[in-house]
Amino acid sequence: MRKANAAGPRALQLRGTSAAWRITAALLLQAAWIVPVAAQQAGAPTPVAAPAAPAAGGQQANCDVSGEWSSRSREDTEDRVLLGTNLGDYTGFPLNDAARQFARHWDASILSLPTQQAIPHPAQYIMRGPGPNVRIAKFVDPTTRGFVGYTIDGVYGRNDRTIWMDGRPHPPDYAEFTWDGFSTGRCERGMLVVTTTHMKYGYHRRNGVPASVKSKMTEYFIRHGTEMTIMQFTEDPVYLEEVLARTLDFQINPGQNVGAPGFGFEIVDEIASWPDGFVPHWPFGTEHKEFAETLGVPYESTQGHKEAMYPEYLAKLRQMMRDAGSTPATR
Amino acid sequence: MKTVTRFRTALQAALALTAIASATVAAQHTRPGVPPERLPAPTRSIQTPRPAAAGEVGVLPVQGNVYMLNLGETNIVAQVGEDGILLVDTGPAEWSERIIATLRDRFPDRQVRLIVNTHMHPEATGGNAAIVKAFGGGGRGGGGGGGGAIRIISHENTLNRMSGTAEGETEQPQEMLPTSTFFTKEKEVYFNGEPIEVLYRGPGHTDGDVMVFFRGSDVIATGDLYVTTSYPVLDEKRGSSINGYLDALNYVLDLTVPRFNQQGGTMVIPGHGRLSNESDVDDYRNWMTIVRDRVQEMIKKGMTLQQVKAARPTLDFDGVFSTKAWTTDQFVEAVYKDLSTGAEPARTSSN
Repeated sequence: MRKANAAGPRALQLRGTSAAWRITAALLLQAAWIVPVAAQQAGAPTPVAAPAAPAAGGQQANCDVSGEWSSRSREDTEDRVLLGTNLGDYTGFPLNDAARQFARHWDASILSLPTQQAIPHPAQYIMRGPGPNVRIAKFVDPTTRGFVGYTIDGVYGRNDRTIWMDGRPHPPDYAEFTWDGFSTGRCERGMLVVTTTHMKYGYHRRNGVPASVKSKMTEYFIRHGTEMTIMQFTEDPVYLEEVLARTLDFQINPGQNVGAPGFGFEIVDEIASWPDGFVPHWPFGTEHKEFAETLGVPYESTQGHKEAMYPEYLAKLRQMMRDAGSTPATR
Repeated sequence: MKTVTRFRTALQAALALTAIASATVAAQHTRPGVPPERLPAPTRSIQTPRPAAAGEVGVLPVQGNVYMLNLGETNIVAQVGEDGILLVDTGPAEWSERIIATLRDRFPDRQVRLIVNTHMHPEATGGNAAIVKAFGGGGRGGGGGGGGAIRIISHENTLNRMSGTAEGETEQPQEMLPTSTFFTKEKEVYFNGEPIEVLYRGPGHTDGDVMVFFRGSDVIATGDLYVTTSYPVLDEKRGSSINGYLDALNYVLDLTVPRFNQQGGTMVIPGHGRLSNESDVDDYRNWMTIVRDRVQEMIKKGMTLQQVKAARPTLDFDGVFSTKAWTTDQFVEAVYKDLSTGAEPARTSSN
């Protein structure tokens, strides 16, 4: 069974963390991701637009990404790997009001429902955490021996990904959607560029930050010898006000074997008292303020407003804190 | 002798070419070497996932004997085998010619023998007459059978409404009407080598909604009791109920068994939208339950309809489910009216 990672009491573990340090680091990281993209758009720092999705093609030269890769998990290590995320922490996302309403009412207890227990991390999140260490393998047509695509194994919940490199079109909108979505790739300037559609409803962070079926994700697998960076750009007209840009780092690890991945999760009824059709959720109007209060920062600064992703926001944040007479918690 | 040698050479060449061609076709269709569980479900379901051109009928092999026919946003279902074709719904009347042409093209030696109407709306029943005319040499038939007759199955309430028997309804042409009805929770059919259950759960979208469970193929056709493209459409004049709707969704979740990590396994074909499995129905059930609970709580607090609308209890879902044909306002109003007059659910779900 999947373990809930977002819980109110966990926020207490963050006491002593310097809010200013955390937010500054987050802003710098965001800036580092955004700048290369923004630079492509002369004079238009915001909003960031996703690079044009490449057409599927069959060119495979110079972008081989196959191998055993260990995740470095350097980005957002604290909430991906160490402590887990917190209810009410939507920092780093360009959320709209609909997404905030969704996230505020998401209750981790929903993961106890039999229909939710065996859900793997969705494509919008799967490459991010925790880990994962992955095996990226080529597969070929056994008749022609032609290169068909890549598979990615080792991700949480066996949400194995397939990246089709044979130029096939994406399925129609009325076809089935899956956790891994439908991915096609092509080589472009030494990068493997992957476009993914047909993803089920998912999340960007394990505290209810939603991703809709209208999401489209463009990933750039950029290999530098034994290192690889994946840049992800996710568009979602339902929940995001602008493109969500994130990076992930991996290192080649020839001795790694992601191991026997098993056959997924077992569904187990654990709570007998819930009636049929019961769906846990927080009451309408709930606001999770514990995270902001623990850090000593304004609640609004934690609610995923797009302006809070950019370095310019730091000055505004400091002013808001001065106006409120609040002192950030110290590490 | 030379002629014989030339003939033999030509024959060998032809055989070799045939073998190569067969191998290539086989590779295209089965993609050997890639374990089936590794194939993304859309590819697993559709060997050649080619989008249909606008205005064309999109044919999606689902699994077993069952195909989903996409008519823009509306879906109908064909179960095909040695016995012929069973259709779940016949689509809007304006699609009839294209549906008939598609069935004849894809299944040239099969005749439509059975139709199940999931409810009485025109997008479910509009093609009844044309399809009976095209395939039913003996016209429409009742439970007694008869040469070439097509049987049209529905819940009794659907016939009552289509025949104008129910209050406020207009009589539909005789050739469109169901010929075999039932009033119990289930009607059983055996067709094309598999048991099929036509299931009635009470009022939901209308008061005559049925779902069709193909037990051998492991596919459920839900009609409009489950859709992916809009909020549940509550037809107030025809006995709809948000709690009945949720009951039907919960029942679908009871029937479905996911194959692996909450996808695959029992497939669900919605009345409108994309091919689904348990997790898709689960999302929809969860969110509509949350909306029901929110509106229920607001009614308990004495909020007026206008106040409820202003609070935007569906904001988190509007980007996906609000449409021009069935807006957020219409949906919230229908739920508010239904819950204001109807029985409360046994227990609301919020903490």
